[in-house]
Amino acid sequence: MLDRMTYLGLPVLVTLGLHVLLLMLIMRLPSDSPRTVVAAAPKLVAIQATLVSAQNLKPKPKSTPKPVAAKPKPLATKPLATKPKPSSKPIPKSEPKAAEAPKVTAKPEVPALTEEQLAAFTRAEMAQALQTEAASEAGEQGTVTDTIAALIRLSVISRWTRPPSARNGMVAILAIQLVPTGDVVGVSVERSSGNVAFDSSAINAVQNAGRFPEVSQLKSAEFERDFRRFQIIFRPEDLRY
Amino acid sequence: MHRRIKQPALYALRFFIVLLSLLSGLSHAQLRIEVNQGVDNPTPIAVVPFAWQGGGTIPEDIAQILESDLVRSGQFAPVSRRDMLSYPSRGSDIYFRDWRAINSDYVLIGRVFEGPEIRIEYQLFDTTRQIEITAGSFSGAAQEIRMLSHRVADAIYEKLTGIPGAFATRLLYVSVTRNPTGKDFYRLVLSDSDGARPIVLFEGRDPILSPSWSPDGNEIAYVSFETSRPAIYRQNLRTGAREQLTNFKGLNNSPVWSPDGNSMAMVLSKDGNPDLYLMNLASRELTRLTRHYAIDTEPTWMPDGKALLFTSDRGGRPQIYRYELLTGKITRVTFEGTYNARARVAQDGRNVALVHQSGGQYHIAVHDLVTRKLTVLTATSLDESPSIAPNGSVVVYATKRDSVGILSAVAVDGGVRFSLPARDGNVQEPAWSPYIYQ
Repeated sequence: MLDRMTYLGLPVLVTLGLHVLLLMLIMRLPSDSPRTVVAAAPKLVAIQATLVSAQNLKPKPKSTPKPVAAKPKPLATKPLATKPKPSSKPIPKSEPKAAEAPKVTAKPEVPALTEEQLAAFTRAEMAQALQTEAASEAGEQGTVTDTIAALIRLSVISRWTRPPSARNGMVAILAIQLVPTGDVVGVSVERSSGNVAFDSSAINAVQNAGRFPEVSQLKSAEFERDFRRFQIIFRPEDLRY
Repeated sequence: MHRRIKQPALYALRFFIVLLSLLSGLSHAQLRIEVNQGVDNPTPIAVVPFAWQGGGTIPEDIAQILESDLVRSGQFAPVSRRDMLSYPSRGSDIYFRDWRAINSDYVLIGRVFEGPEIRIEYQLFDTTRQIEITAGSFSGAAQEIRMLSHRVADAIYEKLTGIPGAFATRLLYVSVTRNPTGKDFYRLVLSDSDGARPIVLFEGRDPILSPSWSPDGNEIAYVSFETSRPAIYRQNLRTGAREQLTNFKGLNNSPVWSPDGNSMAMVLSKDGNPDLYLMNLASRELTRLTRHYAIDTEPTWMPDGKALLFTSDRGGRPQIYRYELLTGKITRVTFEGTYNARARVAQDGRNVALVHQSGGQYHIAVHDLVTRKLTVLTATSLDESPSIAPNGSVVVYATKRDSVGILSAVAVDGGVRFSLPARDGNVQEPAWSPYIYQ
């Protein structure tokens, strides 16, 4: 009985494994990679220190500096990270990372974004970085998408006022529609958090941003692919509980 | 045999996996931006002066009451009336673009009708989505117009924040005035939650201490020294009936009603030093809860009525302990710092407001029973007697300004602090009522 089980079970497992491998391969293919960008927090502290090259702006997969050291990055950002970048001002790649590392271990909490930090991280600087990036690279649309996604993220963060009933871990997903000028023309709740006040606060954050002007710098194909319709997932991690 | 069954199953599985990979490819095609932080600035709201449909002038500026309620919560920033381009009182008169132009997320308008009763109608609009979010009305006696306004504020607050408002509630406090003759005069005062409309419930030359509320908000208990030694009294707010509950030798202190209203925890020293006792209010039967040579005092109920928190120096310094009524088990709750006392538990059973000493100064702090984290809320130095609003959002406490006792309040999230108007004298020992309207 046991023999038969292993005899039958093994091929099934092997097949399953092969399929999973295939799946991973498919998802890694560079052709559609930039679509899975999860533009989470660019580590503000690190960026503030050395905001010179666009490379630093590459969003980190997640802002939560959990003590887990090796977090799998979203697949989209991976190939970009390994690609050598012909930037005019090459900065040793390890530098910002190294600066970031001790921070992570020292502060296991989510760094709260103060308004000063946000202000320091100005739209102008980001836009400038974006331009140099756009100029330097034609093939790296993923990075442009990432940067614009990070800008949108910051813009929304700076306007998001959570109601006191909000709790860490609540999740609301909004579907956003833009026009090529960057104006928000549609906001709808794709998935409710179950808390109306929380959902409204998310909607208001986007509506109050109203326009993401950086989007207008995109080529039309890029705009259509990533920003005509996209989603914003609201999931607070910096609340008291 | 098995193989013949498995084979099609495998095909199905394979098909399923391919389908899944296709689907996941589709769903991943859309960009998704994750937002996991916010700045939590107060939400701008325009409270437009309410239209008065009656004779003479409006008896109270209702919009002003609503506005200051919302501002005191710390979650809202008012739009100045001078910036308003119009004072609409009907939904059809609202031009959303005007309100967007002055960065108001919400507009609250309303009308007040005079009749045998006063009726307040209100409508709340979201200017970004350009929709009416909520509308309603409250009516009542003309002299209750302030309370009616607070009830409107409660409704608005709940709609916008997801938690009930606690504006239509009351405060109990003790005010002490020193007569020119040098003798102190004590008053037990009842006011609205914003400090307005103070009424003296009881007064005299003898000290009044530890006022507290029955869970239904109809009765209060306190300690009075009128018989020259402390005794616990209960008083019905509706009938005015007053009754002495204890008259023991030594301390009779800190009466607190159980959440079911049937019993009262208190501190008595009749058997030696101060310990916690439980009185059955129907039979007047006393049960001794703690028995320790240290001082056990300042009991407060957990909202489920199954445990009490209290202050004890059994560990050498005053700290908060927990007493389980079923088992009599006592556990220490606070460990941060050398002094934590006078706990009050929020209705969520999680946040505990207390007095915390650090650097020789007494601050109001909140201890989270789940994370066991202590957060200091106040920066003043002589803060005491915290009491939590029934919705858990604000802590009212007594403090000193220019060596005069005043009432202040602070949001539990530490956001906003404000002082309540005190008419005269030193104000002490505030006690926030439970919900009165439900």
